[in-house]
Amino acid sequence: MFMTLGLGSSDTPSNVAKFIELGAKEFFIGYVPRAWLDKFGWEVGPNRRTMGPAYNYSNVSELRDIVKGIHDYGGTVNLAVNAHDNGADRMGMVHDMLDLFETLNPDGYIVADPAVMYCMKKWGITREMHISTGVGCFNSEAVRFFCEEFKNITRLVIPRKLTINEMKSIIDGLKDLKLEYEVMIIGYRCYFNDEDCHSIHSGKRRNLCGDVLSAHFTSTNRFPSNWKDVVEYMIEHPRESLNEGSPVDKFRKEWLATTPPPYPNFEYKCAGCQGVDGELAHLMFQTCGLCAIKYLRQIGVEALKVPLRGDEETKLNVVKTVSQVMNAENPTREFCRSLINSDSFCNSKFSCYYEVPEEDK
Amino acid sequence: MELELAIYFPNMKRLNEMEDSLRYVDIQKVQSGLAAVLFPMDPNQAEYVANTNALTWLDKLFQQGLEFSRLYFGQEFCQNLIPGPNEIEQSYYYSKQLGWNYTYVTGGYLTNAGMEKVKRNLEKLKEVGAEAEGAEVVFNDWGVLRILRRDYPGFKPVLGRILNKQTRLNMFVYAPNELPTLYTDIQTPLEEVQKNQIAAYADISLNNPEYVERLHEMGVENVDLDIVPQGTKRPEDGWGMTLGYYYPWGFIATARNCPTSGTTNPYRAFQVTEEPCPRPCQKYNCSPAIPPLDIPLIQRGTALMIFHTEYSEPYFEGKIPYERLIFEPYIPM
Repeated sequence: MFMTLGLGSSDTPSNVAKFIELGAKEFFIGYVPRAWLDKFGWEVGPNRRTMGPAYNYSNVSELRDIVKGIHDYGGTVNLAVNAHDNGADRMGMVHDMLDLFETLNPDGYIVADPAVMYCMKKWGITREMHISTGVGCFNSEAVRFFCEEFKNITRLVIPRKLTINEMKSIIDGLKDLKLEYEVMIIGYRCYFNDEDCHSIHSGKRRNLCGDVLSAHFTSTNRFPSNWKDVVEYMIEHPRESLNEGSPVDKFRKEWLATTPPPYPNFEYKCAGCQGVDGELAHLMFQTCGLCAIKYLRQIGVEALKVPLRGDEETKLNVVKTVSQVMNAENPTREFCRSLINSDSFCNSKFSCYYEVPEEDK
Repeated sequence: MELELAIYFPNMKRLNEMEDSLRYVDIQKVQSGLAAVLFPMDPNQAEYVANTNALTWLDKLFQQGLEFSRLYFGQEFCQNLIPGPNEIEQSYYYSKQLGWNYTYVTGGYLTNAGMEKVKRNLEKLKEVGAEAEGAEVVFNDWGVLRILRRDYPGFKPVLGRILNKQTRLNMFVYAPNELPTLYTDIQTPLEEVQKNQIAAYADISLNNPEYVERLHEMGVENVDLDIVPQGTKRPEDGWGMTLGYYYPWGFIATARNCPTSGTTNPYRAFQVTEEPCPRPCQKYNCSPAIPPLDIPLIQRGTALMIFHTEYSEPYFEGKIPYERLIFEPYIPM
């Protein structure tokens, strides 16, 4: 098992040396060429981190330096070209970008859009390809579809929203293929499926998921099926509608006979908890899959993705923590919790990336 | 080519309500105070008003002499809601009785277990003769296309809207919800960048010949899309495909975790769990109110749906070429 770590534009070769020392082996990075940036801005990007300069390199010499630096320190590096949708007008620039990448001799590409995959095939790019989580391969048939279409696929990035048993089912069904499997293990877990979220990622405003996560949710019963009859009655008999036993009265009583459960409160509860406050731990780790690592290892997952491009404040500590769990012989729940050091965070199951059966923890 | 009119239902309960679903009631005529007892300021309730408004636009197509001639049936957004083989069979015969064509809609992000459900339904459709007569199957998962080509080559595959990853600008149509553009380290004037961005959001992956040619080779000659305010750039040959648009509900985002199911087990709001879902979305909506975005967004189960407003008018006025309108009398979940 190994860690694949996202680098942001402020990461230098000397940072890479530190990350490798801490246990990272593989890296992934994004790049937005200047010409692209001046035409499309940050939001229409060639990869999924379109929130601004912290997330991508945009200077060729820095890109060359970081790729070379990673290789010099013995690491490997994959370039993310995993925007979901790439129209024909952008594809020429994608081609130029890949021509540049090829001169850097990266170890592989992370791709999400089938259109980019077919174009890369036509352009004769045969370097290793990873099926991004943005492809959305939730079943073995879908993985086989892509592996038959593109012989250079070597890895599946398993979508976040699968149980460990569902992942196992996919992996078990693909034993005849020589594929590596990668999962997200820590950091921001998209609220929606990454591959099925079609709003805009922008550094200018909160993302859609931020809107939704901070919104007040209301649960309301759906109408009984006779609601149109009731509306017609209200139009024709506005005064009588107010009477007890009127169709409107009966309708409302039926409609509101049961109260739907409210949307839960997802605040961290800290009373009596040991360690750091849950919100603070959340700022550090966001969503955590450490307890799942030993099970992921058992089912055949090899790569743990630490997607922290742009999260420079937390990166060193998170890399160190993931590395400790990844390298432990038997990383029990207690061991993982001791590293997180926040009862409040760990007691709140919504902090967990994956469901891990209680009895097995 | 004349516009084909399809109607879409997710299950037999809804299909059996078809007549009522197409009955127009003028909610505006209800006295305003009284109307508030049924239609309060609650995002969940916007659905009913929206559905009746949509009927007025459908009526414009009826006035042009169009009639429904195709049934769309199935579940796109949640594999827990996939109708079983009995419902599939009933829906197929329902369409036959009406003399309509049939399209089975399969879902996106299917697990291996979800794929098994789809396979059972395809087997049933094959058994009743739908494959032999060339019924359509909308695929929203590449695994479904693979099994169609391998095991059920008689069905006509339709590239579904979940596999169209076009950015939906529906949230940024109305002031003050401006197009978000981070103007940092960019040399070009902001207006020009935004103009290029909007053009890029209209220019979808299907516009790459390498992609569309391979789809043709795989027998894909139809595509379904969501309506977006920026429009969709389409070449004169229309990609060599018939194009269908869903109306009035599009989706902005969807997931396997589900806020509605989260009301019964909080973890399901964020995580996928092994526990079976009690399907509360069939009883109530659980929608977020997003104050800066005063737009008709409704969370139905796993999907954040949006009602298409003024920007969809050109689709009813013959200003945009397309071949099929897929009318959704309800949010199809």
